[in-house]
Amino acid sequence: MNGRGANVRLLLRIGSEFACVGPLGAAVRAASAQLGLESEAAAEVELSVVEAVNNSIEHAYRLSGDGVVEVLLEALAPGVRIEVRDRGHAMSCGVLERAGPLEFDAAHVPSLPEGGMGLFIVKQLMDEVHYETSGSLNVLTMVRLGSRAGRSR
Amino acid sequence: MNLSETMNDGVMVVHVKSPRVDAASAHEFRAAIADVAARGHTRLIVDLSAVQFIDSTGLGALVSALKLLGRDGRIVVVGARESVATLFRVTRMDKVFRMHLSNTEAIAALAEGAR
Repeated sequence: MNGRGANVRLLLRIGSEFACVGPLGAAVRAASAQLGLESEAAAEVELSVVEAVNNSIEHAYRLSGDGVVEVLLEALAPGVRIEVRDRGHAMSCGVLERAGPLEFDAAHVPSLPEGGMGLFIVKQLMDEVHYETSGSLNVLTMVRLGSRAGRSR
Repeated sequence: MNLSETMNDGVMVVHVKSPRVDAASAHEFRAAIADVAARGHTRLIVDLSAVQFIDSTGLGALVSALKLLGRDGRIVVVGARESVATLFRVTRMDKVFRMHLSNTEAIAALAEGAR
């Protein structure tokens, strides 16, 4: 990281449809790499943003397809700060805090989770995550400072 | 979703040709594996070498597909690039879907598991 891109802000806006999430994620990944994140870190930022936006579409807008999700990406020196914003149903208090390690027995297939992994993944891959609702606006804020080298998981 | 199938030493290999396995394609992905299972294949290799991105919805579809394979079902993964393998590691699903570098290695692992 060399701090390039400071003061850069990008605002991306999509309709609340899963078909829009792929192009959005690809744009976030490209922008993160352009702002100096290493390739794997940029890929993890993309995954985190996709998980957060999927949650907005599925849980905030309940798959209605008529909402709007905004992603604001700001350059840090080093890293990126990202807000995922929606105006749907707010996440219940404590959901983010409770999103802990996935508990399952790998040898017992029926016990394996098929969903509910998104917030845990985001918390694992990002350096800071917090959620706030103000009026009708819900904002999930994530910060990724750089590569994972030296970070514990 | 673009998929193809080959048989390799008697093992069905499902090649995922689409670059993304995500919420937009997960349903189709699960249906494709279900179709393979319905034809009696219970041990599969899923080749993710062409996949550049997978999210938890895509991973959930793979879990769902594994459940469809029944009691003796197994799925192993080959060719996952680092950005794809990260999701499996973070969720511990790499303990469920063993990752291999080649079909040869994957077939050997499936044969070992069948003993």
